[in-house]
Amino acid sequence: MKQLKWVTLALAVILILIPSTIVGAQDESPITDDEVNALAEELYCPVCENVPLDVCPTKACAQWRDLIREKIELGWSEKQIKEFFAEQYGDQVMAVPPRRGFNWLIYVLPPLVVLIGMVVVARVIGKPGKISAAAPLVEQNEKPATPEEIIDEIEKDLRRKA
Amino acid sequence: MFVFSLGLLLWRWSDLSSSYQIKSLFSKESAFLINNLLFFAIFLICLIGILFPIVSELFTGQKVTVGPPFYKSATGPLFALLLLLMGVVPLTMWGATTARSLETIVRKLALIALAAPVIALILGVTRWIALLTIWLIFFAILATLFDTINSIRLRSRIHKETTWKAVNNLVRHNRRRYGGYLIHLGVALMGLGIIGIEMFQTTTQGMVAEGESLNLSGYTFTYEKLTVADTPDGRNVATASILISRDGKELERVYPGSDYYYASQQSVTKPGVRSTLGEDLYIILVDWLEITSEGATFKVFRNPLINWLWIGSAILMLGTLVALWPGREARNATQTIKGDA
Repeated sequence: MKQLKWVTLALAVILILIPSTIVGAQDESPITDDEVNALAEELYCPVCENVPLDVCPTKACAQWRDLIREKIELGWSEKQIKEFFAEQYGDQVMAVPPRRGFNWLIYVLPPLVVLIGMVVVARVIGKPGKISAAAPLVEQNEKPATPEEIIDEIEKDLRRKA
Repeated sequence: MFVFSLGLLLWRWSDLSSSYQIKSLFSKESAFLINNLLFFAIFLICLIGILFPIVSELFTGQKVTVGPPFYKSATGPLFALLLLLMGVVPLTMWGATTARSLETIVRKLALIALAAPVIALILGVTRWIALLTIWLIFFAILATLFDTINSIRLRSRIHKETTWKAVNNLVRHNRRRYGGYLIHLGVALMGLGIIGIEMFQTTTQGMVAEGESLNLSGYTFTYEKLTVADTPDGRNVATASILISRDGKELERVYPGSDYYYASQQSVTKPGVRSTLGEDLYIILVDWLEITSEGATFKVFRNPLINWLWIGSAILMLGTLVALWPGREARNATQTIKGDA
């Protein structure tokens, strides 16, 4: 009976201590929300499309944020945590596609677009046109038309088309 | 639809070629051409970013996300070039501008505009990309103002008009040009807002008990109390009271909250906002302890220069109105045609 009393007392002490230890551990957690969010904003919710993990309101995402907190506490690096999430939920959780295989296309295409554009512009500038911009629009001997004459011509054209 | 449009474009390719030859790289025509190239490249890069997840899934079966970091790094340099072009275009001429004549004025204005990043550096801005963008923005603003002020002075002198009348006549006779300049100014100011939010936004999140505070960028946000109550229109309204202070001085009390609609089972977040010309402070009530209401989680954002984005947008709209407003000539022509008909 005496032994039972001691066991009961020990159990009571443990039951009292455990919650306070957990609360104490939570209060003294060295990882702030800001540290978790800094990493979470570079990961995407695997369930809701195109929602960054730091602002996702679902319970699943809250759990994933807690998971990030745990990993940081364990001393994992940013890269390790990202790779862990990519392995678990696929490449879609990364904010940008990882640089491998087919994904290289998205890194090659933008500079290629600009390069092709530059070549086209370089070819257009200096390419002989039907009429040179620098060429006079009227013959040298001819008197240039006054603005009123030009407006008259335009109005005549408009009337003809109407 | 895309193939049909492309087919039409290719079919009429020869008709679409310009009848003019662009002779100088430094002419207004060249600037417009490069401007079109930059806008088209930005459009194509965005299209690639949007379509890539679908294409990737189609070919590899693997879904990928193309998020903001891709767009920022791929289009950022092109936007910087657009800012540079916005500064250079008002200084170029139709037909041909020699490199030498353009260089003199561009160098002068670029040197004066350098004062802006130097001031920013003194104020503590150290990111080179922010300093470069600030320089480009002020160069574009200076070039636009330089050309406008020059034109006003010239017109005022030649026509012996007052400054206000000269401005009025200049804009009335060339709405598209000065409307375009207003759009340039608007975009430059919007650029300031974008730099502020993209490069200098700070944020924090934390759970605090009543009377406790969160700190961010020199500001203190003290959580005073939370009231939660049902309203007759079927809402559960939670409102927190937050006192914003800086260096011990009380600035403003804001009330972030959340409305829960019982019928639709949806929540609507209402941020507490302190807005000034220099920066905005947003406080969002993220969560709170239902039973005691003693502890609540807040997310705080400090968005520097964000209001310049809205001011720039208003100027951009004004510029568009000025550029599109029908001039006297257009109205007269319409009346003549109506009269003849």
